Amino acid sequence: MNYQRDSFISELRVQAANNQDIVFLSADFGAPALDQFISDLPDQFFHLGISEQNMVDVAIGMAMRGKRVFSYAMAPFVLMRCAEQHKLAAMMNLPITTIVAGVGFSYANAGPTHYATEDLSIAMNLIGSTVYTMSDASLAGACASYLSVSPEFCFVRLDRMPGDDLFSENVIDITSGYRSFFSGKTLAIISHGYLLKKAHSIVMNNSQYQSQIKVFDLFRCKPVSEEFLREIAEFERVLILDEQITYSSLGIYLYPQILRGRDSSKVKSLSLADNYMFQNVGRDGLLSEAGLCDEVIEKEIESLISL
Amino acid sequence: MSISSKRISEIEQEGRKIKLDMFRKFCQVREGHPGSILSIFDIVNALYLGGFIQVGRDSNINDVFIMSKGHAAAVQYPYLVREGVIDQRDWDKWGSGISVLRVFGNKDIPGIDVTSGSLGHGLGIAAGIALANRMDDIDVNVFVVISEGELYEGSTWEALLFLSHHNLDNIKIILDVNRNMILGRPEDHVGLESIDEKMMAFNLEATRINGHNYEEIFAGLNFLMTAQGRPRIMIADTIKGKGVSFMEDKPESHYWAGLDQEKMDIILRDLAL
Repeated sequence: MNYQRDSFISELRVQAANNQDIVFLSADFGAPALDQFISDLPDQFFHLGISEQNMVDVAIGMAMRGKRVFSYAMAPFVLMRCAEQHKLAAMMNLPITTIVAGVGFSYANAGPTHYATEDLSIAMNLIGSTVYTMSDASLAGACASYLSVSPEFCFVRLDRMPGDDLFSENVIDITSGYRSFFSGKTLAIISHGYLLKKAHSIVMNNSQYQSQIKVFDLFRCKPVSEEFLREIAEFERVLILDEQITYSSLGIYLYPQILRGRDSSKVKSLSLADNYMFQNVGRDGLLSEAGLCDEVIEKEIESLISL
Repeated sequence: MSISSKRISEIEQEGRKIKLDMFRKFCQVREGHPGSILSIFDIVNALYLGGFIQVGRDSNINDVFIMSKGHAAAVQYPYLVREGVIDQRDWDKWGSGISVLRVFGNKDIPGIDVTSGSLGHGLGIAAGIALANRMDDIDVNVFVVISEGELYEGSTWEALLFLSHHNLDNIKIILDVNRNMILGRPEDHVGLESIDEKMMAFNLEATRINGHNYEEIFAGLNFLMTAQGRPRIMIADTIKGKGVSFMEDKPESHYWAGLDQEKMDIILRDLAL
């Protein structure tokens, strides 16, 4: 079980050791790998205090001077609190990577102040942004490696909890923006992050599904690659899953791109309802109450396959 | 920097001509924020004509100027035109044709280092620039003009904490206190004083001057330029709409809107005196 944040920061540390222009800013948010970064490269790390807005402004200033800035804090605070600062960075087209830690119900035990179930919309709606969502640690490491040499104005959304890698033995192509699992041709499941792993697990545990379904990890949902759209166009049936409220979910953003020429009744999107959930029932408990548990997903899969 | 009283007087006189020309242009453009420009004008004039700021396109050599109160960014344009950084044709066509110039400064305008318009970002950006420069051993100054209105933005105080902690003494902060918000005076709504004490509590070295008295402005700018180890701030008490009889100390002078030909004639008459 590996943490996405540690994988990302560890890889960044390797890159930063050879490039003094890589700097890491944190708004008092840590990780074991960050301890190592700070220990090895103290001059390339800056602790901003719990001041996310200033962190983004400082990132703007440093990026203006040619630094490759990675700023890091918890998802709801580094995105929602700083939306205007990010807009300013976007207007100046600065290559700042914001590491958005703990998306979805990652902080299930903490309650809605710490949930990031609407953060995707903020990252997506910043003009010129690129948006990544990691589903495992090896992907996070590959993403860090890529962004350290190809800086862009982007958001990298990480899960809080550790997990097993899905495909760690393969080289991941970050530029394509997606990867796929299984080889079915009846149904495409598109997701990212935690629900991608859920979908992967459901298919993995059902040999029949494996011959019917292809699971797409759309780890870069903005911009979506032409290659991905071409591949999706081959599927008549599509199921989109996201641990976001509907108005902030992948479905909202993908519909205009994938519905063209397709029977809309064969495209479904499952996401969260437009409300705050205060139940202290853990992440899967919250997803279950929100209608995104394994059973509901499987029911939707069955329904689409049978159409 | 030692400048004679005679030269200071010349700079003030030269500034009057520049200000009049600028407002002739604004009467063509017919938009903008005249009150805020007039409150900061004398300081900006002293900065440029007094040689405090190194102007040019190479940011490794030249100073950075962040007009954090972005609604007053146009006050920089005449000086950037004089230095050849902004094309004269852009100045000439502003208000009557296609020009890169805008009421708010943005990075597409030559010589404008930071896009501004929303308040409370300038100090944090300055801190990032100064920090990066320190990493690269680049020794240039970062001038930041903020308004007292930006003291209402929490990000301003976050940045002050940060730049003070890192002793970023290359940041030269100029605070324009014209005591006018759009809906009234700070002391009648959410008081800001004592600003001096607040700044010193943040470990900045502060001086307070009359922002329209050139001897005091030059003394204040010299104070900023001689910072050693701790960042310094020049708090300037100014008058919104300074120099235009019907605008002085009036919150409504914030916007150009509502200025008819008669009022524009008064502006040009008053500034020509």
